[in-house]
Amino acid sequence: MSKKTNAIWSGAILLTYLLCSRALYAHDAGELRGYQVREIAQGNFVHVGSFPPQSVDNHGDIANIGFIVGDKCVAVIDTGSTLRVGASLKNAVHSVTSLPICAVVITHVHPDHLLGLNAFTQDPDIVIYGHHRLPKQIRSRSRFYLDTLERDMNVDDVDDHVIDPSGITTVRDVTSIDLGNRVINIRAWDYAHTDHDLSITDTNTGTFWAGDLVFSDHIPILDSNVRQYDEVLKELKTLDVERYVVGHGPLNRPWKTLIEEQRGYLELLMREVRAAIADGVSLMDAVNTVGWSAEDDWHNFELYHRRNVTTTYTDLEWEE
Amino acid sequence: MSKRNLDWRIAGLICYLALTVSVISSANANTIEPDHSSIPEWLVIKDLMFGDREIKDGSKDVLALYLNTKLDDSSTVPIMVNALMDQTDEMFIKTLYLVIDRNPIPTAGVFQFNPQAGKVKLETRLRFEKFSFIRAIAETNSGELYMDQRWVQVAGGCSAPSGKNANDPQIGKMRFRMDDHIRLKEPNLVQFQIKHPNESTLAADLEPGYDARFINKVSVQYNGKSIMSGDINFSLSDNPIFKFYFAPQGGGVLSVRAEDTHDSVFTHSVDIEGGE
Repeated sequence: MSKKTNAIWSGAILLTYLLCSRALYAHDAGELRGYQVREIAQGNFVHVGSFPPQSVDNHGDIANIGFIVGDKCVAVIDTGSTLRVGASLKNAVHSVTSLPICAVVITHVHPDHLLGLNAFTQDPDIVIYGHHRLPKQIRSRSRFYLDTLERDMNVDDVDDHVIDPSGITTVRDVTSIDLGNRVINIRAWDYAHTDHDLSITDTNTGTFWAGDLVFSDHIPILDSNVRQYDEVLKELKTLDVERYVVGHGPLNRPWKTLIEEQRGYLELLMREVRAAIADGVSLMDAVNTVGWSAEDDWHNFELYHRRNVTTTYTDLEWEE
Repeated sequence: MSKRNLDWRIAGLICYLALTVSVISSANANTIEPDHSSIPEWLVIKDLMFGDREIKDGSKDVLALYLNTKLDDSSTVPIMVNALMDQTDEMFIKTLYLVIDRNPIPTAGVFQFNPQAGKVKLETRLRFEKFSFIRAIAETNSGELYMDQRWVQVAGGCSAPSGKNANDPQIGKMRFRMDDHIRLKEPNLVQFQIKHPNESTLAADLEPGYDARFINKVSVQYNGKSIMSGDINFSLSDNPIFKFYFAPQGGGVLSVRAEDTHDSVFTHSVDIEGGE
């Protein structure tokens, strides 16, 4: 047998071994390797997630999530898409401070922000905060999200991810929490990215945690009402925000620029959808024709734009 | 070649093949279009709905089913069925069945048409709970069955209603859309839409003791005579719409009546001008 043939077979076996070990690694229930957080403002720590969509390769770790440290305790903001991501974030808290976690704030129901929650729920001293419409959304969407976790993410402990919505302390308007010489304000918004978004402001540093109210580079996603979302963005633009955390994308671009870009997209959607409806263009055709001039302006446009057109069209077709 | 080398080869090959097959099958478990005629769910549905009756391929000359190739909102999938034959007194499509094999209620809709419409078309929007075939089956006046079908790869539409438009309290509000000038004695397209959450049992079942509220019957009449009616359910998206042909012989009143599972009845009507 030639050396060359031997080398080929050895290569095949090595490849097999690598594939095997990678598959095993994907099923490892431990925390993620190399999970990092950085302090973007005093006491505000962020883990920057991979760019969506979620996949086995990125472990569903696609959202920017983090925590705020006071003198007394820590508030965690969002928990990632799996128990592994939640456990990694929890471990990151413990690596930064010995203070206990006293609060977890869930900005909205989407699985990349929510499904790591049970990494924190064993501790009865941790209060879970969510919008007053969050429990209903958890009840109606859980089945779909857990099915997706099992089917697409190869997660085998899906049952451990089931969220109990009765344990959530709900927020209407604004709730303030004192973390010890550091007050954070949790604000409940009306119809925006979803119908149950929360934002968090750290009053010591002015850092604004926007959840998915605002996107950076990543195409905005509409899971509510486009007209009211646009009104919310108008208000967000008036806020004097220097440092922020948005759910997806880079955190170093000017706040007002992000919002102008996002409003530009929503207004393009509304303008062209209204024209399509007036011209009798069906939804089936509109998803392929409306708003595609913005295709090169956003990441993941191909993945989410048609859905945004659908959401806009099915709202605006009822306008008087 | 030594015995040892051969063993290595075989072991490597077996492991490699096993891995390749498992990787391919897990990646493509649901993505390869299966043979539409041997889907287990369909065989049961077909037997229940049509017994031993033959269902012919209708895609060449009876009816065509259209969907976009790229779909990403499983709760709102627009579909269109076009009859490829005119409605005549001798041969017309009497009933159109929409079947989604793997939805909780596979019979998404059963629609009756009036032969006087001249042409048959139906546009509506559907929810897909799992990767599934959708089938449009036409039953003619002589009782023959013809089918066209499409494979659809979106999921979760019945269990993940979005928060969109959820703030609208105007349940039962209805609207007709049609051309400003209705042509008498010719097929005209008319769209009927109703505001209704059309709740899915899968999304609602986690609140104990609550029955999902969805529309189960729509009936559109012209001067009291049925032009389109449907037995439907939550396989249709929220705020259901229906687009179809009707051919008024003269002026009159176009009216619609919808009923839901909470015993609500919604009615609406518009005047169509006659004369000319």
